[in-house]
Amino acid sequence: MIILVCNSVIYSGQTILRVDLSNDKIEDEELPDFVVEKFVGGKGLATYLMYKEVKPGIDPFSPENKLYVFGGPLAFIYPTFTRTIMVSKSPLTGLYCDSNAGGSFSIELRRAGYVGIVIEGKSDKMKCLKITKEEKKLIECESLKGKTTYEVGDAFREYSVLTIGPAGENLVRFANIVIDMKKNPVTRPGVAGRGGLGAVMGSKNLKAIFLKGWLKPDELAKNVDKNLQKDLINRYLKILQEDVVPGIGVGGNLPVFRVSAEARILPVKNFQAGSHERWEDLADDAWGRITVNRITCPTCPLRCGVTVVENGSSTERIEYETVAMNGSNLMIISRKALAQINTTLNALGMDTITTGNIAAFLMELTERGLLKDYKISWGDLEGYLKLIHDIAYRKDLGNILAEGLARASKTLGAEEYAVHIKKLEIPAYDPRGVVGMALAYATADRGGDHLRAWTVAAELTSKLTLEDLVNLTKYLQDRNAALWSLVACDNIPGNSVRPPDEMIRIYIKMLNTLGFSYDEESFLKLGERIYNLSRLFNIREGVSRKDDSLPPRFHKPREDTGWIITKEDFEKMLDTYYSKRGWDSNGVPLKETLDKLGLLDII
Amino acid sequence: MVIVVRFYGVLKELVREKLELNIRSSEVLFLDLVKEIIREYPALGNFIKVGEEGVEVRGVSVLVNGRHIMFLGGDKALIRDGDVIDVLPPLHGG
Repeated sequence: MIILVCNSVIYSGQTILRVDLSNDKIEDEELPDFVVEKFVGGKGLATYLMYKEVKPGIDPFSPENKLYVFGGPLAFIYPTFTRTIMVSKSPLTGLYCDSNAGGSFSIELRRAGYVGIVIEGKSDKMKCLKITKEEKKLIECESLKGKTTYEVGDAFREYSVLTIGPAGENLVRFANIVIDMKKNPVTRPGVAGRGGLGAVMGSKNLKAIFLKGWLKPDELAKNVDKNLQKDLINRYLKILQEDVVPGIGVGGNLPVFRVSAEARILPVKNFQAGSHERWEDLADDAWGRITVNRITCPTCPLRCGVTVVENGSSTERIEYETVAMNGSNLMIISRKALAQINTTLNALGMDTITTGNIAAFLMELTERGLLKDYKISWGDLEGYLKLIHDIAYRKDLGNILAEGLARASKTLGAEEYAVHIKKLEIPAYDPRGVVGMALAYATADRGGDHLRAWTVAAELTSKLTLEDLVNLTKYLQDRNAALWSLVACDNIPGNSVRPPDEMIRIYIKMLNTLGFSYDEESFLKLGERIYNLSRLFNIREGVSRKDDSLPPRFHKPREDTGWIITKEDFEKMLDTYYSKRGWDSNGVPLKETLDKLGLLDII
Repeated sequence: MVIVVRFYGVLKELVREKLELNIRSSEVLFLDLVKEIIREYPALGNFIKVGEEGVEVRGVSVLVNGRHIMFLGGDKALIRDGDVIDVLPPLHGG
């Protein structure tokens, strides 16, 4: 373990709680200023600590792997910084992974005086971590074994609850971690869906963390100028009202479905086509008609968490990715069915993107007659619901699929039909239309992911050149890495109807009220520093240019439109990107790049 | 020569689903084509316009015969008889 010596403190609660499940040890550890200055919080601090602490080549399910559960310095002092970011070596990809979730956990974590929790080791018995003013302790919770995320949330309704479901316990490599999932939730539940971090929790025999903070805002904002704080809050709330509320629409990111379908980049039949004749049944208006409640995370005025009810089936927090990956991609065009699927996956604790992607793969293999002892047709809801359970409990074919698409497709001898990048199944946008997203997917630090660089937003102006696309991709990856260190919410800049530049300037000012001294340039450099460090982690695990690639399907013309990304075009994009990043032709950061970012003395 | 330009999503509402353009020359710069289309459909200028440094887009993707135009020379790409151009709208959210 690294011993960090602290001389002074930038912000109140720059402390982590280190929890060792191997020997029931829990201790506070204050982070030194030189680390906090360079990495701030959230993704930044967690990435730094993981790079330093997690040795190369370890099995993600071994006690040596660690799970970093972090909030950021602005939570509870300023509105909306409610995201909790989880970072670990992913059991799905074997690489760096972060995944963040809304809900109340990050606020309560800050109210307990911590910026993060580091979970290490492995318990012999199922444990829960309880954090209150009176006690911080690991307690045996064998009685929660096998419980769904809803059941755990309901059992501890008075706490903020971060938990895994049965899939996490059964080491399904794409098990998620959920926050505040319960019946009739008061605040918006959150899901850290990607990369199987729930299985890391499961491998440590940690079922849940339940937490109730006690500090008041002023206790966290001791040195903050109150007038400035009030002014920044007012300016920020005004921007949210004017620019983000209109963009949120019916809630979450459901409006994306209409745009994706009209642009013909919707995943249909395992990315074989880009639109479906009945897409309007799953578009935002259709969900708006059956929305019965919209809830929000604590301190946030936006009500993006929707609860829908269709013919007696209700579900919380349904989003575009879930609807597209499990709806059009599987030819299940039914809101009731999707409500059932969403609730089932959330309850068992599995990523909706990955599961939908795997089911589409199986349905395609069935159609092509490539499966011997198993069949599942397009649109087969009953078969799919059974399959979900089989995966969660690792039964029959489910045991193979629980290993994730990359491993399962290899076992089944059908890798050419598997749509993933670096073993992370890609989300619900076919990049053959929006080619900018191909580079974003291929260079995302956690594998095939769209959130690091959303290059196709109307708020972004660019020229139709390779250089501009690359600049945009790098800028967004760096910007988001910096924002996820606060931890800012994805749904806010992403749904702004105007460029979020002023919003980000306000975030930087908020940060500086705590004692930092960032400007726009150094804030972006913070993100670049983090992005290079996560890249270095992956390089240490063996990643190189060959891994920054696309699934074979995207190098073939799409049947319905003829759209294609040729290998030659893609390699050109990658060359330009590496050059802009200051990486060599194999994707390794150059020494001068690391020096510029202040990373040479860290690695 | 005849060039087909197809618009999707919100862009379809601003222009139409498909334009068939009869051009007198045997090839045309994409930049000049954009100028022509915007002259006819000025509302499109909210998403794609010609600035001092050439064509600028707001989240819009342009494909020529299925390949992104940035691989074909960007706004300097030469469009020829029979080419099909797809213009995709920006996407909100994520």
